[in-house]
Amino acid sequence: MITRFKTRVTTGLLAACVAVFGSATVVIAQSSSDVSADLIETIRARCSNSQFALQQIEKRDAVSRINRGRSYDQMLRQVSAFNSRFTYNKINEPKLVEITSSLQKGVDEFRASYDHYDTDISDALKVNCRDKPAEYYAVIVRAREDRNTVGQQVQKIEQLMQDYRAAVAAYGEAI
Amino acid sequence: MSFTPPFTRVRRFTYKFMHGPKLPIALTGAIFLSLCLTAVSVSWYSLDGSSKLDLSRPGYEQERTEVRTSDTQKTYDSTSPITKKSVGDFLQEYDGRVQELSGYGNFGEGALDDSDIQLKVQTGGNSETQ
Repeated sequence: MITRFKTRVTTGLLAACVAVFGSATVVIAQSSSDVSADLIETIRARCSNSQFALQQIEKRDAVSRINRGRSYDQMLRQVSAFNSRFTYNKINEPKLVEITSSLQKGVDEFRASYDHYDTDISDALKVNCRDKPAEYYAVIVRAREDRNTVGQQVQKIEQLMQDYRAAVAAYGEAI
Repeated sequence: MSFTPPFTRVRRFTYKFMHGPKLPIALTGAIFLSLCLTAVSVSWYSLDGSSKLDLSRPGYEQERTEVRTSDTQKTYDSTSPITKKSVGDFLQEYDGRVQELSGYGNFGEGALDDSDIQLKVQTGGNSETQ
């Protein structure tokens, strides 16, 4: 009974390993086949230039991330204090609180998605693109997707900031 | 040759250790403690993402000048009545912040295009981006 159970567990684990490694191999093979031979040659030939350009982009983006992070924090402090003022004066404005909560969540997501993106760039800089051009390009593609996610977070925060402004302006007109 | 029980041996060793020279023990302890603290702080610095945003590293001189200098922490009034004027003041500062944010990079598409990272494929006389 116990032996049969052990056999089943072992078989299950083996099947899971085969499934995981198999799918990973398919993904790697797919990403490699997506890269043309010309591009592979270009990556090999311009490996150092490409990684230098990537470093410059990383530095530029770090500045944007720091400046944005600071401004967002300052904005959240201002907005939270204004919401507290509403509460202190016993004015019920749930929309403002709701937008502020979404803003806080958006800023947290912006930070997290930037971390993912920056990890991708660091991974790309670690890859020896002369020896593994396809792997290098696969990381670049992943970094592009993660950078787009960061961009989407920025747009979402901008939209929420506009919503908050519109809500406060509407309250101001109604006074 | 007599048999000494393990507990007695441990007790003797502890006694010798405790009554032996103190300086080597203190030095070893201090070095070990500092190594542990350094390991913890470096791990913390790397894992929480601070290292990614640390522009005080060598090679980031240019970027340091582009970072907005941190102004003093502004405190906001959270108890005064809300009047038309206070809403106006709030919106004025808020708009300033929105304006400031528009001056920073927005992580828009295109920055990692093949041409931007020097991977534009040259085909014959024409250049083509994959």
